[in-house]
Amino acid sequence: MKQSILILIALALMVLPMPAIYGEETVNQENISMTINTKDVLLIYDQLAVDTVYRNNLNTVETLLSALSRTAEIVSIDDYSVGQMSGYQKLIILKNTENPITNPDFIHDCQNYSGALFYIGFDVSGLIPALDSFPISRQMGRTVSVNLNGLAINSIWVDDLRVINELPGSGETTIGVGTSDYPFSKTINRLTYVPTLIGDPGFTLGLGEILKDWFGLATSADMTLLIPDIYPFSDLNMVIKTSDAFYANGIPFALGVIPIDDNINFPAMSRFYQVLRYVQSRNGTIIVHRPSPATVSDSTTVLSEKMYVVITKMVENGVYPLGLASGESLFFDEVSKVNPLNLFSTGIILPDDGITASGRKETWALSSASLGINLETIANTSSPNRNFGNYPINTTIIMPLPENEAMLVAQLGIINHKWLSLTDYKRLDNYWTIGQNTIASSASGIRVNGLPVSLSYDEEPIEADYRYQKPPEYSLEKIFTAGNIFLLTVVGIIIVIFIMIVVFSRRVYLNKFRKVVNNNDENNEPVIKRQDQEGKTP
Amino acid sequence: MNGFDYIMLVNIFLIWSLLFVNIVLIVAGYVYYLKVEKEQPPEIIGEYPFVSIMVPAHNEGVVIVKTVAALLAFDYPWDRYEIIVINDNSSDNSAELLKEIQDTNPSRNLTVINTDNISGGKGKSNALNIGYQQAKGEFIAIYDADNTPEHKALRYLAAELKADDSLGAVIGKFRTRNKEVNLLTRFINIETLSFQWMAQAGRWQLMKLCTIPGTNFILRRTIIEAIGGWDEKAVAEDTEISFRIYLMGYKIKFQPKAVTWEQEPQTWAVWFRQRTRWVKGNVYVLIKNIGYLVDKDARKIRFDIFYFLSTYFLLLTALVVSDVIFVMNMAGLVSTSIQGFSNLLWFTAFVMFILGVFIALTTEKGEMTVSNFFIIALMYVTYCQMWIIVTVYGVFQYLKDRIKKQDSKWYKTERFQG
Repeated sequence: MKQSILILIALALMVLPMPAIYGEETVNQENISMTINTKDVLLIYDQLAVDTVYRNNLNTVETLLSALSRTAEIVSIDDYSVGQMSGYQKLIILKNTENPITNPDFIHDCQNYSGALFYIGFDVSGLIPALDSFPISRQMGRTVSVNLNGLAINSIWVDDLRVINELPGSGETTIGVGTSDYPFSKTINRLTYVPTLIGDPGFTLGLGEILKDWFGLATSADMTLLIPDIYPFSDLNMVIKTSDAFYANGIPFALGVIPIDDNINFPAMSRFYQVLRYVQSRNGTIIVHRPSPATVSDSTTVLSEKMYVVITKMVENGVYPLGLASGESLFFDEVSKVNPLNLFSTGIILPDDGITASGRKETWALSSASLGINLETIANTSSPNRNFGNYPINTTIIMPLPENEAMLVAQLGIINHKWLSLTDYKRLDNYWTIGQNTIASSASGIRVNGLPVSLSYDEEPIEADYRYQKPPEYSLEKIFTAGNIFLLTVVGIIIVIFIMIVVFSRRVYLNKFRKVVNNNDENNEPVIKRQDQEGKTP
Repeated sequence: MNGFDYIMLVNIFLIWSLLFVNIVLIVAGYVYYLKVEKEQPPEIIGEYPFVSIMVPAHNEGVVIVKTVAALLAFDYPWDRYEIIVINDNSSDNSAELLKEIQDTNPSRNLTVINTDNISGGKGKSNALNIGYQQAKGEFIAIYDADNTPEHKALRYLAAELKADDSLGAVIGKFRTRNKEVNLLTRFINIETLSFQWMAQAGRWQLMKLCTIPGTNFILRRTIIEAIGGWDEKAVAEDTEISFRIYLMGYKIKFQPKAVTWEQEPQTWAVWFRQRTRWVKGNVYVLIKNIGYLVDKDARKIRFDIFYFLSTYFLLLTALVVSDVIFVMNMAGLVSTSIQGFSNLLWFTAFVMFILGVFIALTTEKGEMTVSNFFIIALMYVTYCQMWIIVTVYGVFQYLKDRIKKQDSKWYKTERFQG
């Protein structure tokens, strides 16, 4: 009996792990199949090319994919595993250098790949036979323009320009070199080739247009405007002035508000919310501007919890963030770690000068996004028509909060002079559910938990103790500042002289009293110390 | 800017100006110290001048024996000086004690003048005038009744005066005999040393000016004769007589080697009364002589008048008014908008004050100590602030006496056993 029990136990021990092992395998298989099924594209690159003009290329492609709401798996050629690309219908190869490829698995799979292939950069002879037949013209040191959607982004310097030596088709994105135009890319069957990419806004937008077509995305594109990096201690008066100026000029804009997770019950936050409500009433849209993770917290869990509190608090105070502004790095994090920021349906992908870290990565994407460009790019773009028109992909002009009224006037001047057609961010289809709140916005307005909300501004009185008071203005500030420096210098010199005197005095003192002790004739001590003589008055 | 801003501006200017005046005096005083250190003590050449030492004493039984004993012990020919103690309407046993000393020293020139409430009891100036009637010396030396001069003090004072006809008087240095008693006496010790090395030595070095301190000084008999004795209305007779000497064209020299040790107040109450008297007396002398500020013939005392004026009126007013405005500003009663100086600057000024005073202490044996350094820092926030109160009170008392047309009462400083 005992033996049979032992056998049963032994069998149980042998059998029990099997479902667990089987379970793990099942999960892994599911994960693999999820990877295969959920990512839109596999991006393979050769090197980061950190010391070259191509150092931002990987970042550019990644950012564009996020701006186009495409998810990707990213891997370097060296890390590529056999059969990896077979799970994808779309493959992007970014070749930043002319170095030969040494991974035979990659070469083999490449040559046998049957999906849509988007090849950027240097050709490697024999890797993709169809590519070798493209007529490439190589020109060194050229100032070029990128022409897209009727717009021309001018004065782009390219050290090593490689173009397809053919006449471009009508309406095609082109690279203009002097009086010649070359196609930005060329597609033959399943292969699309972009011979030159540098991390310049013009090339980025050009590539964006090609990728957009390649992915078969809708043709319409919007342009919005974002004032980033606003927090309670920004120049809130300038925020109000800018809002008024934009409102007066009919310019819709968004305000990138950095989520503050500390001291959110402080009076400064009440004033801040008040200003944000005012901005909303001036046709401004509030966007959560996610700062660099390095400046926030090491703990993503804590950060996630704080974000829930911050966003809930904003809604409680009548501030309705409709989207997210973030650098590309956010999309490399796992969704669970960035929650609830992933719950925004729309966002603005901010340009990031940092070189993307190497290693295998997967990205997630928002439902809809736009690519951040700076005002300088707008200034460098010419349009054949009075109205500026639109770039081929969704873009957001990033305009820093003006430091003064002169700067505000200058920025307004650029926007007005270019006759930009800016879209009101809140009229886009924005949607999110975070905590107990569901917010949606569209052309019909903003709805919170299904109910429309008014954005009109009713100033709430703030208790006198908490009311913002301007710092006192001092009279004779310049005189006292100069006087302060002068007197500090003089007093400092005097202190040094005094210290020198004290040190010198110490020497004089020691010499003096050594002399007195040695001088037996010196007998001039105070009578008070000569008690023996006091009673002996002659 | 409003009216308070302008007042604050003037105050800041005054405070810093006077601060720098005193810095200059500290450095000048130190230069004089080095000069004196290099020189040999003054010696009398030729015949010793006959000196009358006068000691006004009112109820000084506690200290008078020790004082007279010290005077009798001077390293000076016995037949070339006399001691006149004016026992001024004392109600204690001073007369008996002085008689006993006289009896035990029959061969010495020691005269005791006992006055009653009719002839005496009217203050120090009156007592000095009484003593002066019997003085035979060509030089007159004055010592307070609580003094214990060093052995050679009189010799040094007389030698200086005899050697230079341009000198009207020579003052010595006084030290605090009871400095170890408590914190107050330590404060006074530091105060007296810094005052003498800054205000006395510094002014002598720069302008050949000094103020007679009331004790341990010698002057020419001819001066007393010329000015008709001491001004009995002046409760700060020392300052008064200094001005008179200047006006006669004489200089007053500071000879720090002539040292006397005196007892200082040991309680705040006594200190307060004594200093109030000084303030009242100095204000009287200042107002009496204020006209000399614009008198072409009185150039020599202009600085002294200005110095007293700045100490008792300008600096005091600046400090008090700025403190009042500061408090009112904090209470929200007034508003000022001038920026003012940084806290760092005020802190460095504080450090400068400590070092400046400490320099005076480095000249004296046993005073260059770490504890004294910290006591100076403590003085700034306690003793110096008390001085403001004393000065305000003294000025107020003086004005009250003037309005009521009362003569200032001469308060006699209480002495302590020891």
